[in-house]
Amino acid sequence: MLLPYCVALHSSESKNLTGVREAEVKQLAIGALHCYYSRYESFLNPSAQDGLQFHEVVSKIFAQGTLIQFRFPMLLDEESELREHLAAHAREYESFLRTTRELVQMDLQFTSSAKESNAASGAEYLRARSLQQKELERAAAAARSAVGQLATDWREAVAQTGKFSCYSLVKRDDATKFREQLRALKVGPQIKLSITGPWPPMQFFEAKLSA
Amino acid sequence: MDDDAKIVSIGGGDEDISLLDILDHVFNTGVVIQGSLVISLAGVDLLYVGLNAVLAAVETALKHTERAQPRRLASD
Repeated sequence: MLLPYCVALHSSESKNLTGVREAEVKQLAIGALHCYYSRYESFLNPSAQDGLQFHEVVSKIFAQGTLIQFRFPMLLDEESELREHLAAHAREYESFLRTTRELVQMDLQFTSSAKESNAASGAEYLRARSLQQKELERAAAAARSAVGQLATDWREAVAQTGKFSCYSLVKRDDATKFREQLRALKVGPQIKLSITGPWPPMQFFEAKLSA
Repeated sequence: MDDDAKIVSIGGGDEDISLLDILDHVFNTGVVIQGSLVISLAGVDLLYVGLNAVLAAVETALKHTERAQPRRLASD
């Protein structure tokens, strides 16, 4: 079984990488693409600890350049399946990796602590939720304004009730400045802002991949 | 678990990233190849996943030759 980690345009020194469950990290080169993976006889009981190790591998490769990561734990039977997939979608992968070569993704999550559960009626509940949503959207708009041109692209998504996520593409070298721009942002007493990253720019990878 | 307890220093980045943020990215982000097997536990709140938690039925892993129907995923 193969556990693919990610695809990149750069070749990392995989001898220095330790894979999930101490497996060797191998590389598969298809044209300009380098795919990193580990091989296992079987992969039972995937755990959160495995997930953290997966993240470690991806992080080390990401530190050297942008990449497209695979979901964990996605398993393939044979290397030939990975080859076929990469060969079939090489153009999409390569195009995205070249476009985002110097870019990273920063995630912003806005969480509302406003309580709508005390509403006396269904109408009041819906009204409270609507207000909460508007507050979150206002906070997101303020954040967008605060970072200005540091964000080369910006996406938003309602994660779940009371949460609102934003994803920003930022130049790798601007990631620290991006955080600093948001530190002074006032989002209101019932809104909490959490900023994480840099991450691989997966929210902006729009290729429709199949087969 | 309060916010401080969730903050774990995991290499890289200017600030500590929470364990939950990492696991959220790992388990919910990324390309899925059509025909692959993705072991996941849909709908489980990550707040309740401990470090050694089993995330999938052993039976699912043992039956890896029976292909799951992965989502046609562009990106997350």
